[in-house]
Amino acid sequence: MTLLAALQRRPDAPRRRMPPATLIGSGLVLLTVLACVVMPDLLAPHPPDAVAPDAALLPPGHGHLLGTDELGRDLLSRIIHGSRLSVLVGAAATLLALVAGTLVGLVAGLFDGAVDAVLMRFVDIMLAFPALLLALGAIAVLGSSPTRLAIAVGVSNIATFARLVRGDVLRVRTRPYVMAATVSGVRPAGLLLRHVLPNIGGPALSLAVLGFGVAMLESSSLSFLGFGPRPPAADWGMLAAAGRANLAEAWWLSTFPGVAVAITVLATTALGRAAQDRLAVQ
Amino acid sequence: MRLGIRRPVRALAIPAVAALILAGCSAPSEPSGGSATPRPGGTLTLATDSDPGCLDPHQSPAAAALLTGRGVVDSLVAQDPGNGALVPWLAESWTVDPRATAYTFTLRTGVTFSDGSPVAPAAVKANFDRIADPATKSLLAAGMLAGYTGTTVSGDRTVVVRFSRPNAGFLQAASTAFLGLQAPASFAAGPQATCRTIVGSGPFTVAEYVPQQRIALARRAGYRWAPRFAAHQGDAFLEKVVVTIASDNGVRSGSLRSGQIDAAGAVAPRDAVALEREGFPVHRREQAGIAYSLFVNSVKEPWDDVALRRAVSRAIDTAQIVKTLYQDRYTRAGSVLTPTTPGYLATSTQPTATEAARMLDAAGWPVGADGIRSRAGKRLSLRWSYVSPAREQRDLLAQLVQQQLRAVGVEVLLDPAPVGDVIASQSRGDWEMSDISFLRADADVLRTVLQSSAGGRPPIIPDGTLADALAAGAATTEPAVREDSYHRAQQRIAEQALAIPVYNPTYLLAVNKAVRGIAFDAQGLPQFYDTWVDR
Repeated sequence: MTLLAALQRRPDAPRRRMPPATLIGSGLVLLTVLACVVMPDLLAPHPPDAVAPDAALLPPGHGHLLGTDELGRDLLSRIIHGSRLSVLVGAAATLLALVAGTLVGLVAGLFDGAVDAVLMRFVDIMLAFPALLLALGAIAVLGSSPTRLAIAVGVSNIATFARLVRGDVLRVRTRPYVMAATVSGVRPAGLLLRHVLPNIGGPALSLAVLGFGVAMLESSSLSFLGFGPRPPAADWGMLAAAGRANLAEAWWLSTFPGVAVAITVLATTALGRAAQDRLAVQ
Repeated sequence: MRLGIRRPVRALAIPAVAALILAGCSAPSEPSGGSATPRPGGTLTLATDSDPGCLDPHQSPAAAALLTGRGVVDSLVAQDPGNGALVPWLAESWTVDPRATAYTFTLRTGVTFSDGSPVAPAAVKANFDRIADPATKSLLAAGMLAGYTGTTVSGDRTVVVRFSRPNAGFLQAASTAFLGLQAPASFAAGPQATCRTIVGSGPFTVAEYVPQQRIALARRAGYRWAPRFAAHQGDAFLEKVVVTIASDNGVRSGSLRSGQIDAAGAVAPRDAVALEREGFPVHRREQAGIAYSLFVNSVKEPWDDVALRRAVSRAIDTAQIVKTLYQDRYTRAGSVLTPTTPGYLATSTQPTATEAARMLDAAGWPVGADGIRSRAGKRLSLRWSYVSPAREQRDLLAQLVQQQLRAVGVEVLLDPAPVGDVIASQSRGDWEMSDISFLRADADVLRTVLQSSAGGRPPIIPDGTLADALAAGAATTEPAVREDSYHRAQQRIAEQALAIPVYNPTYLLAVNKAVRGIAFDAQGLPQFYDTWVDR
């Protein structure tokens, strides 16, 4: 799933309200993940790096709710500790994409003509590449660490935000109240902050919620491919990748980190959609 | 005839006929337990973990190139996998001058390459000249010919290979497929051509090579010059050997279970345990050369203090490593060389964390608040850049070592990196901890790998006493002197804790029950000349 795909909805698709149970469930999932991010030491039953060779590859149960890995480390504890890296990288990447994308979109929308044309052709070029490919390219240039991972994923999603914000700016610019403000001599900065931004913030923010899920998925994919944090620290993508070697004997190693990514992304997407329905201009 | 592995009718007909002929002249085979007499014919399909990239052992340093290359090219001498002795092969006899700079080989007669040309002195010269030629871009073989000045043809059976400086490792090197003899006519098309197919005098010929998929070898008729330790003489039993490439461990063991392949090479220890349980025979052979070892840079502060290095080597619990990661299918290393390497001397001591902690205390590195030792504000840490993705679970091994050292207050900073980055930092001397294993059945490997950059990945050990011992070993072909030199070298490495041997890399080959006569060469790679399929 790319952010673009998340954004696009078939125009003829019936708009159905998200059932409340879905929203509550999604909220609970995200709260749990948030709790893991904030206080992993309190929630994790074991230290994440403590090896116990005699307890290697224990299946779920046996005092280890989600089983253990090849070195006897408790998988649940590693997932809980890994949440911090996964979520923070996703959040940082989204923030970067949101801020940079909004800036580009604002500039392109406000200064039409050459500036707009040049910026938007850049955006078109970026959109022509799959976001994951762009992020891979960025990682190849930057090298891998959690910060660089966040930058790579963030950069790869700038274009989507820029495109959305520019469209909204163009729409808002021609509204009577903006024209009135322009006529009455409000300076460009004031116009931007007081009249344009508040009216385009909703769609951008709801896209950011969706974007967070996508960014997490992307950063997990990159970690899965080996661009993640340094061991022994591991985010969910790395945990899933590490389990591949023994998938036949130890299904839980890759499954549970994968499930963690999946339900977090799904919950974010559900909330993002709901927010989009509320905030987006029809 | 095209080699059609998808034509079972033809493939089955030949062994059936062969079996009938054989049945007429040998004892009747046992009905249920299978025949003890090798039956010629049939195809062996083996899955291996990696593609050599280039089939030519003159160019490629990959073990994968040896696996197929050994069946196709023969060498001047052969190394008996049983005792490491060098015995005649394409050379009937040889003499070495006292300085180990001139090797005179007398060639066996009547030997031909599979293109029909004779294995003559001129061919030997053409091969060595080619390997030493920089245009060949040899990554390993050229290093084995270090100091090569040329080959002289004298008479119709004799060649003299000369070196500008002593090269006692040459004789063993000449027994490997890296210095194997290929048909000179095949060199004409340039190095790229021999990457795709090689022509040798071996019991098999290359029938097909599809990169990243498979290498098919076909039996050569009229092979009469197997080394004397082989289980039989004459043509190979197998009509065809198909080596397929499946990098995923699970795919290889799964294909064996499902009967798609007859043999799974480079089986992961955990898979080997499961396959054994299911009744698949698993052949194992400890590979010769440098054991998988860790190195602590002895010229970097504070690791120039031998007490610290010794403490680290005592703190690493190798028994726990082989048990946890390798299910004891690999053994603990006893020395920087593996036990199957001639000249091996057991030097390892029992690991003990309490002793290691005491040594670190005595060296003046007290434990800090976070459990890591420090002195004058400097933390006792080791930066370890290792190749990732890693084989043999070495990435997990690094994390286990990290925890073992943490328990005694030494911090290990893990930095998994692509192989190019690791080599670059090692070449600059900018490393604190490093790891390596190296395949070669001669103790001279210590010199070629750890003392020069010829090995490609050089965690070079700067130690004068060690260098002297290794140079002494390389300067003579006298077995007793060589053995003594290499014993001294291993003692020096252990005493100075220059290397921390961890485990002996071991080739695990799982086969189905019909596969017989599996043999390993002196390096520890499986060979298929004596192999046959009982069905």
